[in-house]
Amino acid sequence: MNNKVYGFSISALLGAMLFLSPAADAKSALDGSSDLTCAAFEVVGCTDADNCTSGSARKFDLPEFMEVRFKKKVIHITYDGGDKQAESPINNSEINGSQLVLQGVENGHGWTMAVNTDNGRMSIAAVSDELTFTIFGACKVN
Amino acid sequence: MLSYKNYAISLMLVITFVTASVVTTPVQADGAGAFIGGIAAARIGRSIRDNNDAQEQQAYYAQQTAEAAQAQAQAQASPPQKSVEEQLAELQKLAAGGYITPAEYKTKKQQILDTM
Repeated sequence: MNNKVYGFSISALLGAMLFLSPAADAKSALDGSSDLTCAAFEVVGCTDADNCTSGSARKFDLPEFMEVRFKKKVIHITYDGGDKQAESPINNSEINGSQLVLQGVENGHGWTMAVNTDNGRMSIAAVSDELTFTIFGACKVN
Repeated sequence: MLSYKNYAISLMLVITFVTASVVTTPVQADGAGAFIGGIAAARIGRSIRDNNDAQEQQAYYAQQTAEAAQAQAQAQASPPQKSVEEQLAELQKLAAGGYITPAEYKTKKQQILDTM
């Protein structure tokens, strides 16, 4: 009798955890329930008000694709022909309206990434005391 | 020996702890460098500096070209300076041909000599 009760409790707990986990929430594909692949299109960067440059991601030698890995809470890229990899830890993520907003801090740079959960449009803005840049692009579910 | 109740509680605590660890801690891959605050910031910053240097260099060359063109234009606008001998010879021809009076010849000759 007791075995059945405790067994049921554990099953219920695991079931509840699975049900409440992001992977089980299929409300929107771009809501953080699944990993994303994002492409960088354009970049605008400034070192001061009179010294800004804009252009394609290729012009800045940035990787064309980045992966948002929600379980690991990182944005992951490979570059230089796939030989090297880099990641940015995601410190905060939430959905606000139709925006999936991810935030982090890394090497003195604060950054925010916003993904439109309806159409996948994406931008990343990063700031430090001497450099600001914005990357525009789009994301799709893996 | 653990009772079923203790076993269940322990299992729940372990599951909760593991779940909390997975959910709250970013897991970076081994050997991965920084992306946004690393490679992206470095390459974008470098590109801005390179662009700024190129603009400054372009502005410098444009200024040099403009100055050279201006000097060339000034050189073309002013006629070449004749020597005193050439001016006196020309003046003498004018006098011999009757184009100027002896008085004008004398005055102009003195002016040319005064420039020596």
